Amino acid sequence: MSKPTVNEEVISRLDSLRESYRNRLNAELKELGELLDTPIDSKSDLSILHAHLHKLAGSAGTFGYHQFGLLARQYELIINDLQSGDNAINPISIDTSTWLASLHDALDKNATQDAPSGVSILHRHAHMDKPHIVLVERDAMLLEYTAQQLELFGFQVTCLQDADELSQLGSEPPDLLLVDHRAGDLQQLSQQPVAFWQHKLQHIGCPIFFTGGEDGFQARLNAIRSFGSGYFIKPLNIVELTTKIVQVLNTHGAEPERILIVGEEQYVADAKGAILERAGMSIFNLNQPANLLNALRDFNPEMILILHYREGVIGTEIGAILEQFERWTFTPVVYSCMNPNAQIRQKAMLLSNFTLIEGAIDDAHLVGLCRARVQKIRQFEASLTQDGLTGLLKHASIKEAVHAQWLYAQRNSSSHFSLVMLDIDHFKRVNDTYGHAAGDSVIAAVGTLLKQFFRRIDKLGRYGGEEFALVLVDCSANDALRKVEELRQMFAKIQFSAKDVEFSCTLSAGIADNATYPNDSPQELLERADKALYCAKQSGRNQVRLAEG
Amino acid sequence: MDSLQRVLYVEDDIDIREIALIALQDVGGLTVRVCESGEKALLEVDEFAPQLILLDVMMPGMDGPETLQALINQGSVLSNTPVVFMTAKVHPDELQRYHAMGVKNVIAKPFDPMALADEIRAIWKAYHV
Repeated sequence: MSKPTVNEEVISRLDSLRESYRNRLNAELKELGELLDTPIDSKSDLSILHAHLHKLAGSAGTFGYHQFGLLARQYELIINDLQSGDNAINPISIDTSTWLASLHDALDKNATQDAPSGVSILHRHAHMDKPHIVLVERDAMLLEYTAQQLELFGFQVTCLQDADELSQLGSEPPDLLLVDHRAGDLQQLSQQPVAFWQHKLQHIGCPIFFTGGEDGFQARLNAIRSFGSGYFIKPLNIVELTTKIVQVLNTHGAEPERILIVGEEQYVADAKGAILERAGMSIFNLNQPANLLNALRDFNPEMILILHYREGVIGTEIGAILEQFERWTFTPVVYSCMNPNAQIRQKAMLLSNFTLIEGAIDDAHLVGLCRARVQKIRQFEASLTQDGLTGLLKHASIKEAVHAQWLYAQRNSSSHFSLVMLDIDHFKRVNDTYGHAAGDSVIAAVGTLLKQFFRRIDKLGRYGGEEFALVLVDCSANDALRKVEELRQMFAKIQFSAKDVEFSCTLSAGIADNATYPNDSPQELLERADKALYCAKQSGRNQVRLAEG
Repeated sequence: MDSLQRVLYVEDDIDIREIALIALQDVGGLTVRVCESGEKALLEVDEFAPQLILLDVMMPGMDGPETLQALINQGSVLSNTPVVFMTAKVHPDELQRYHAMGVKNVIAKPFDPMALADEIRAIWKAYHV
């Protein structure tokens, strides 16, 4: 079974189909205009209107006119409600006067914004390194909308409408599964939701988030019991959702956890160490507890695992020693002890960040425990240098990063970097119009988008209120320009919502690089990027500028 | 297992027919017989002997479910022939109705022309594992 690759001829035929469909839309809109102009006074009028809208809603997206299609769908649903209502039709009850203009608008916008669907798919395949999310959602419209929004944040999305389709996924697990908790056989779901999902999801090798309309204890409990590590309420807050997704994905496949093992018996320590190493962790085996302080300094562990206790030294005593050092006082300690006495139990409880395990511990459990503890300490350490809202570096830390990168570039003449200052346009207006919570979600979205968009080696910081500073490593000014310009366009497409109102925001940015300005100090470079940002603002905002002069 | 080759496709809208044809034939490498109505499909189905049937739901005259019923009645659809509905509306109630007719698969409109053939193949595969 050979599958022809998509060639240019197909693309051009799709393009010309798209063109001819566009002509047809013009004709359809004209007809629709006439329908909307005459008063609706019977059921049959309504059903003609409904049929028109339904057709448009179902076809426009296929030809790449997504916005238009979604709008037609909205109107179709309104008519649908009217049709199904038992009330006598009240033509005044719907205001259709703006519909035609809005549809025209959506069509025009579509023509300038969206690439033909064929091209966008090719584009998607070119980015196979993007995190892959599988979305399961019963509602076709919501499915498409959510997928669109997730794609804006740089995820690659596969859409499914029913849990049955999960079996069609390839052998390669996705990075994350986002599941509507009702996207399956409704009868089974109403009787045995947990059993249903456990069966469907048992072999999925990735984190699972559930979504649902109910916000209650039972819904969350069901999600947890169905292997879900998150539960999000509809209507989905995309910003909150993507923030969480990025968090989860970044802990997966992050740096290996550094675990120091203090073991009573060499072979036990070796065996447990091998298990943790196989799970991708980095291990240091300490034979002599007396060398603890040296080992801490040399290995810099994120967690300490004590297996049983050596003659004379008890695990809780090691924990107590660690608490005396400021550097190690937050480091988690796990102490596996066969038969602890009452005294050991009590001491263990008094130590913070200390976990006592009585009896033998299962290998899988041990791996999970170490991973969870290290994740917690990493979150904690990150919170010291990171801005809480965005997860980016705080002001002082990003300035430090600029300085460090500049110093490095001084020593290595071949190393260049670009500095970007970035600011949300009319942010005050967002706060005033939609409230501070909405403003915060815009800032958080920039944070998430930046993290998704740039590489791990880049340094990303929240410089001030709605201002951000980025250090793009080994990146020329022109590359930075291209990248940030792409980011600007993506950001403009993100839909925020506040109190049922949807809105979008734009960004302005200024860029300065060290190769063009080799004599600048870090502070001068920052000022230069800031000046370019100011120029972008002056020239009408929503644009990216390189430093000049 | 035979691989999927012949797909019978019933759709009244000429533009959609054309783009789906490109999607299935040129992009997907399938052999497609297109019919513009359920009545036409009833006449052509046996001669073409499709391995999978793809039906638009909302059509003037016979709609998708009616077409399927007629195909079953005249013996052209066997119990192991996968049937797929294409529809812009996937309401739970409607899905139930399709399920009752033995149709497990629905492709949502608007569909993505670059992915349509893969979707169809995936459905086919699910029937033949």
